Amino acid sequence: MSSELFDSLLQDLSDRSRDEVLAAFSAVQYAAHPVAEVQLAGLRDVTLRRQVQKMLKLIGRTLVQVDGTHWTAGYADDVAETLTAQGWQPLSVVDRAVLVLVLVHSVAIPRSEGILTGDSWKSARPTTVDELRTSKISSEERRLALQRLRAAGLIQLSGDHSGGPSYIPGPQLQRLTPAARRRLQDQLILAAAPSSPIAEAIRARLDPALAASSA
Amino acid sequence: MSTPEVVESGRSYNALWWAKVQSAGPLQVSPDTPPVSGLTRAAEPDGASVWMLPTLPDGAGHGVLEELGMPPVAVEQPNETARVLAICVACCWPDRSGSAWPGVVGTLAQVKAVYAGLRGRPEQSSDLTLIIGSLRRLHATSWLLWNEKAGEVRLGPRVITWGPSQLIGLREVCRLLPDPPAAVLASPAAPEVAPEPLPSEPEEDV
Repeated sequence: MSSELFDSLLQDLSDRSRDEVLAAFSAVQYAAHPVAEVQLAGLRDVTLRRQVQKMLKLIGRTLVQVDGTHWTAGYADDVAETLTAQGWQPLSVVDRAVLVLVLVHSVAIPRSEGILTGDSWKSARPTTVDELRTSKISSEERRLALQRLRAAGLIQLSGDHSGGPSYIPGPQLQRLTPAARRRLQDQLILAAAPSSPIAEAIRARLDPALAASSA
Repeated sequence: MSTPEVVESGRSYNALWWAKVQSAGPLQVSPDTPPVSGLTRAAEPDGASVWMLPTLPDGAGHGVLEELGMPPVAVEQPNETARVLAICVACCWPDRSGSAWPGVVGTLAQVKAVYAGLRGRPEQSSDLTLIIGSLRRLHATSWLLWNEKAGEVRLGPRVITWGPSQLIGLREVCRLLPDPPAAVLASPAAPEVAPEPLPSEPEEDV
C-alpha cells in the first residue's frame, strides 16, 4: 500500500535515505516513548531529520524534542489551534475531567510544592483512586473513563499498588509541544486559582485587551 | 489549479483531516466529503456515510517498530483482546473470499460460544467480563463496532487496511477456530437477507 501524500517528498531520496526517513517517521509517530536520537540515522542526520519533519507537517504533526536527546511527534501548534477554534474535541467531558484530576494531583500539586521542576507533564507521583473519588463523577463513569484514558496512553497505571490502583500521566503527554505544555499549565492555573496574581498575569498575556478593560 | 495558494490550502486541508483521524480515530463522514490525500475511505453498507482512516507508505507503519525493537503503545490484556478480535473476525466475515469490510453483524452469544469452544470447556460467567472488556477496547480503537445495548458486533473500519497477506493469515485463524453458532439478531431492522449468515463449514481455500 502506498500513499501519494508523501510521494513528492520521498521520490528524490536514495533508497537508503528513504528507509532511514520512514523508520524515523514511524518511530516518532508510533513508539510508546520518545526515541533516542543516536538510535536512528533519520533523527541523527540533520538533513534526513528535516525530511521527517516535512512528512510530519503534511499530516498536521511536528517533531518534539524531549530531554535534549530524544524525539517524538505531536500536533503542530497551528493545526491544534485551528481545530480548537473549530470546536474539535475528541475527548468526552468526563474523560477530560478525570484526566485533569490526574494532572492536578500528579503534576500541578507536586510542581507547586517544588517537588517537580521543569515544564514536563511526566511525573512519578501517583494519583490514587481516593483522590479521583472527590469528583462529581459516578464510579462507573470514572472506571470507564480511566479505561479509555489508559487505552489512549494519556494516563497509565503507576507501579505503586500499595493503596490499590493509582495513576500517573501517560506517555502521550510527552508529545506536547513547548507551546502546548505552557497552554495546559496556564489553563490549570486559571481553573485551580482563578483569582491569584499569577492567573491575572496569564489572562493579561493571553488577551491584553481584555485584561486592560477589566482592570 | 496548481497555483501556490491552492497547493498550500490543499496541504492545510489534508493536515487538518489527518490531525482529526489521528486524535479521534477513523471518522464517519458524509459521502460527499472531498477526498483527503493518504486517507482511505470505507463505505458503510447502506451508503449513507463513509469512514476515513489513514494509510501509510510501505515501510512506515507500526510494523517498523518491531524491526527497531521499540514497543508500541501497550494494549491492556493483549492476549484476550487479540483472541476476541479473532473470534469476531470469524463471526462477522462469512464470505472469506472477499474483503473483511463491511462483513455481517455478529452477536455476543456467538462470541461467547466460540470463546468457550476455544478454551475447550463450557461457557463460564467469568468469560463475560473478559469478553466485554476486550470488545470495549476494540471498539475504542475502531477494530470493532460494538453495540453494547443490542449485544451486537461488526468489524470496524480499520479492517479495511488489512492487505491480501494479512487476510490469508486471518483465513487460517478462522479455520482453526470453532464454528460460530448461527446469529440470532435482536434488531429486526437488519436490511440484508441473511437467514444463514454463517457457513456451517469454513471455506477452506480461495
